[in-house]
Amino acid sequence: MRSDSELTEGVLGGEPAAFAELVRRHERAVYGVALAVLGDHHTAEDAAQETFVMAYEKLGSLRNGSAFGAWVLRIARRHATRLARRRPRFQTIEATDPESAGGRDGQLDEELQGLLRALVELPPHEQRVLTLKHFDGYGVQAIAQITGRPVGTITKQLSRAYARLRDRLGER
Amino acid sequence: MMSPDSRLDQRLDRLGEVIRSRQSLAGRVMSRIEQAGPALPRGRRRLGGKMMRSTMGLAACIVIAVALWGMFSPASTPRAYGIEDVPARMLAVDSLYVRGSLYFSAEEARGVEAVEVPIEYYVQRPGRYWMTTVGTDDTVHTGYCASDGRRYINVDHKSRTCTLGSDAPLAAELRTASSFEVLLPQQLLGGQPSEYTRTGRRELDGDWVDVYERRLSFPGDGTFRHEVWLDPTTGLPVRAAIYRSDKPDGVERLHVELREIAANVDPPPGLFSFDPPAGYEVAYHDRQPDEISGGGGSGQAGEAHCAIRFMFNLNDRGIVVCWAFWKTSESPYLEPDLDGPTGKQLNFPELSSADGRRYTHHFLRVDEGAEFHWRWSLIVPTDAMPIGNDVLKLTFTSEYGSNSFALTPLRCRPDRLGDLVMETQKLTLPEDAPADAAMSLQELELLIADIHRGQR
Repeated sequence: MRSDSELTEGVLGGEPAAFAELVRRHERAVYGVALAVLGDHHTAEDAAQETFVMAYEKLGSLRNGSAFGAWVLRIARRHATRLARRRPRFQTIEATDPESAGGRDGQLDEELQGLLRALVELPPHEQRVLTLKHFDGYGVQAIAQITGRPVGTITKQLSRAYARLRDRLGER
Repeated sequence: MMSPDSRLDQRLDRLGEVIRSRQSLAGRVMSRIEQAGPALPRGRRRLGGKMMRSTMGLAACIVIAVALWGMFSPASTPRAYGIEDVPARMLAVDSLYVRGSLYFSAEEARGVEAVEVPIEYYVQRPGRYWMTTVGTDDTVHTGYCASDGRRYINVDHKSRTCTLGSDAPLAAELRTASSFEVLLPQQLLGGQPSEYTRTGRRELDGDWVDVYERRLSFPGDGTFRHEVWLDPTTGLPVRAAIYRSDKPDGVERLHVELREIAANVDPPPGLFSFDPPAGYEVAYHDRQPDEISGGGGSGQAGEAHCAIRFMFNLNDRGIVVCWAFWKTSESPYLEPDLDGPTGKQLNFPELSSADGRRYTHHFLRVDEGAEFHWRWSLIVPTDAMPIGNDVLKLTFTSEYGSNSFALTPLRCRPDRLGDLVMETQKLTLPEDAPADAAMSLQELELLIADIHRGQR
């Protein structure tokens, strides 16, 4: 498995397909951040897609490719916050669907939304290891390989991330 | 006992399942970046990147909230009405005319300058409406939709197209009721009346009005102020505005202004002409019974779809809901445990209440149509007290994730509620259904009483 750093170098070296791998690897974490900020699946999906396009455009400004994960999450958070600021609070009749005047759909249930909000408030590296584990299903070895960190570091980061998450959820 | 760690692990895994249920973005992202050309090496910046991004906005319907007024005279006159019961008072209004403007910044309008979009609504019971429609998919564009219960017209100024046809009185009545109970309160207030604070009084056309305000802010970003002027003699809004202040300058700008709000008035002359605008392409389509709905919404998680088609608040004693749940690959899809008998308690979809009150959900009937299985069910508060302003949510969960709907049941006027409950049920009943298959309001209320007595 190629590390984020190797994939980033690949993209900058003229291998666009490597970016698809970066998207697949980080899309769930990015989507999670967008969902935490925006609160509904449809808007979050659009925001996640735009985040990756922005990341691609700015990739040359990323000095350390192994930090791609935390970097793209910061972009996602900024972008989702900007969208949240702009999104509808005054309901108009949509030109495309004049009959729809009511339901609010596509939202995460409250317990999971609360968990997600707490998760994205964690420091980026802790957030990253938790999303790789629970959103992507990677084991500690694979996470170490992806992030370019020793297994022991990942284990400690996971442990601290759980503790901090429990604190934020008031479960200690 | 389960350890805290394993409980947290389980919730994280459940969250992961929801996240994983979305389709991969890789294909869509790659097709987008193909248009952008190769990534630039370190130290080089792409010209026009911001411009390109500005075209990638969300396809969303619009606008914002918030408010204020600055100079208020001291309040000394007792108020006849407060803002708390505005939605309830809307039930007594026969017609409402609203005129104002939405203001889009150049960035929001995806253009080079700010745009003002005039909006106008007229809604009249039992079933007549005319409403400006606003689209923001690539540029800000408008149109309108109107119906008098016999004819309808939908006009899109962007594509210069128009659809005309006969309408069903029931469709127009439900749309009108939904406008009075859901859409217009949302537009006039933008939130719950309880979120507002009375800030003072102002003079409007020689009369004193009460001014209410609510504020919203987003960390690190702008602030929104939503202001409503309320006529204390009628208890209805007469003016509303939303102001927004953004960083970096923090200057407050008008975002939405509803300058004219008038209740129980005639429509402007010529509004319901149903004449297509000159030069527009016209298509004809008569409204079909399966296009009629009343409130609700629809959503998707992976292959699972859910939709609420009708919802009625039954005199605050319960809520009758018509809904469908299906999978793309198994349409229509019917779970065996969602079958009868009438009154059987259901565990799906999941019910939750903002007030923390307990409700139970009961099977009424499944109407198996060719496309959908429409399920009629009944939601009842276990404490047998009036539902009041409690906000309920239904959550549809499947192996693909979940979707939630806040319930916005139509209360309707008492003289129409019984008929609407019956007429909407007849829309989903199969042609060969027995004549008494639809449950009347009285039967539903008896069923609610049975449930409270534990007899169901």
